[in-house]
Amino acid sequence: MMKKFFLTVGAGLTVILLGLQFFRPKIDHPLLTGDLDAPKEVKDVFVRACYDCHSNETNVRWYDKIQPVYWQVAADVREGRKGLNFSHWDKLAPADRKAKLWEAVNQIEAGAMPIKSYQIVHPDSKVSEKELSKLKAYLLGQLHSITNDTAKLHDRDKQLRTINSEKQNDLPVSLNGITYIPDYKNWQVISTSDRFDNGTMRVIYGNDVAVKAVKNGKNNPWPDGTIFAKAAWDKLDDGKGNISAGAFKQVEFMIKDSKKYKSTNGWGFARFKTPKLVPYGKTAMFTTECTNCHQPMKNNDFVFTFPIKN
Amino acid sequence: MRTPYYLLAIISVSLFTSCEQTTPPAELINKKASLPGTFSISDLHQRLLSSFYNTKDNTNTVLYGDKGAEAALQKHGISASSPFSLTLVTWHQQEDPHWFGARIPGDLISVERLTKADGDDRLSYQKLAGKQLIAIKDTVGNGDRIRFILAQQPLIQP
Ligand code: HEC
Ligand code: HEC
Repeated sequence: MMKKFFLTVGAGLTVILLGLQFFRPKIDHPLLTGDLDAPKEVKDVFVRACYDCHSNETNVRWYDKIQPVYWQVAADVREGRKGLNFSHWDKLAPADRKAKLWEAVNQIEAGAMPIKSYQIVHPDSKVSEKELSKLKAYLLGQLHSITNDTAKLHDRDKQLRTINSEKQNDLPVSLNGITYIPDYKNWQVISTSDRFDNGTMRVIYGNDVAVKAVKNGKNNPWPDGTIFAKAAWDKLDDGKGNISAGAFKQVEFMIKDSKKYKSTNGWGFARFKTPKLVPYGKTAMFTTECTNCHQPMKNNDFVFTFPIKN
Repeated sequence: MRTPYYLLAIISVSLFTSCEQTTPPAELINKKASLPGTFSISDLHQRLLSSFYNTKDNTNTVLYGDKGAEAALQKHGISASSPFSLTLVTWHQQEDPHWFGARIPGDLISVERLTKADGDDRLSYQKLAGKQLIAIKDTVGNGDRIRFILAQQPLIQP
């Protein structure tokens, strides 16, 4: 009786699997416009480990083409190319290229890329410790000194002159419906970050809920009502070892509400740029950028900052 | 007959191992940089006025103050009458374990407090140092520190 049942189920599944093979999403190979430009030993790593999903040169092996695996492969290629495409390197501004490379190296270091399921099927895609060190050394070698940058000094002075005339009466709203929160300036500082990858300095503020959560050890997951603000400034270097804040670049918010913001990992993301507080992005989908880069922190409720108890 | 159960076991094991654990909350607190229980910045209810670094000492500093302090810094000095309170917290820097390309506060070095009471022209400077924030009695160099603190410019915070 039981035997017959399993046989029927087995046969049914086989038919379904065979049938599935005829439903094939399309992976196209659009023209390459401008490929990643980096030394060979750096580029080789990206080509081997990342190009299947992050370039137009996707090489789908026969074992990737078996359904239902193929659906996942096609989806990964689609999503992967959207966030980072080495074949359209020329479409990025130089600063964005640099930022993408730092992000790429960080995703490798965090063990988030290449995607785990892909690594199991393609063991040769794993990036070794030695290769990772090479990538890091390359990035560090590309950094240049920021000493006495007159353009940055000028930006700061200009902001100081115009700041009061730029005060708006209405609070700006981000494309995903989050209203700017001016009160962040009265919150506690839970950490700072000296970003030598992009020449900015940041301060991370936490509201009362966040500060209390840190004191009570309730910081993973963070309780609903937690809000983080992160503000960024240019770094000014006086050449004598003193680094101070230059022009204000932006302020970003993460608002914890596990129900309301379920689709973005329980956090409402918003970014406002320049002292004019211009909402960031072209559509409400700008949040994909935020969630993709914060993804490697999934075991830490998607938060990077190590808060200071104060 | 046992095969389906073995299959089930294999599937559930692989599901469990692919599901990573959430990090214990205590491991995510920056303990090195945290203030000892004897001193709480958040109880002062001051706000951030400035943040700066010193690349020679590899330190980073955050300057807090009250309303009077903000006004004092904006005027690049002390207006004769208004009282103020400034608090300076300094750390060694450390690499950010979560982001290659960032440095975050490491070991706590000191807390300095500069205050001016109402109707009193004198400034009071106090320094607490070390992980436990022990009061420092030595007053050598205090004048320089006071000038340094008062020379800081407030951040542009729209
Ligand atoms: C099997 C396909 C696949 C491979 C191989 C792969 N990725 Fe990804 N990658 C994705 C997908 C899908 C996303 C978007 C969703 C996510 O973050 O998980 C992504 C996102 C990213 C992002 C974030 C992009 C953004 O939106 O800003 C970076 C950076 C990244 N990958 C770097 C790499 C690097 C570096 C490698 C090689 C070491 C690599 N990936 C290999 C599929 C892949
Ligand atoms: C390229 C990677 C990257 C992208 C994209 C990104 N973040 Fe972050 N975010 C970070 C890092 C790294 C930190 C840790 C602080 C630091 O060093 O700047 C951080 C920290 C934060 C924090 C403080 C809380 C925490 O997680 O530490 C907020 C708030 C924040 N980001 C908001 C945003 C918003 C809003 C967006 C999208 C508009 C965004 N982030 C996109 C990398 C990124």
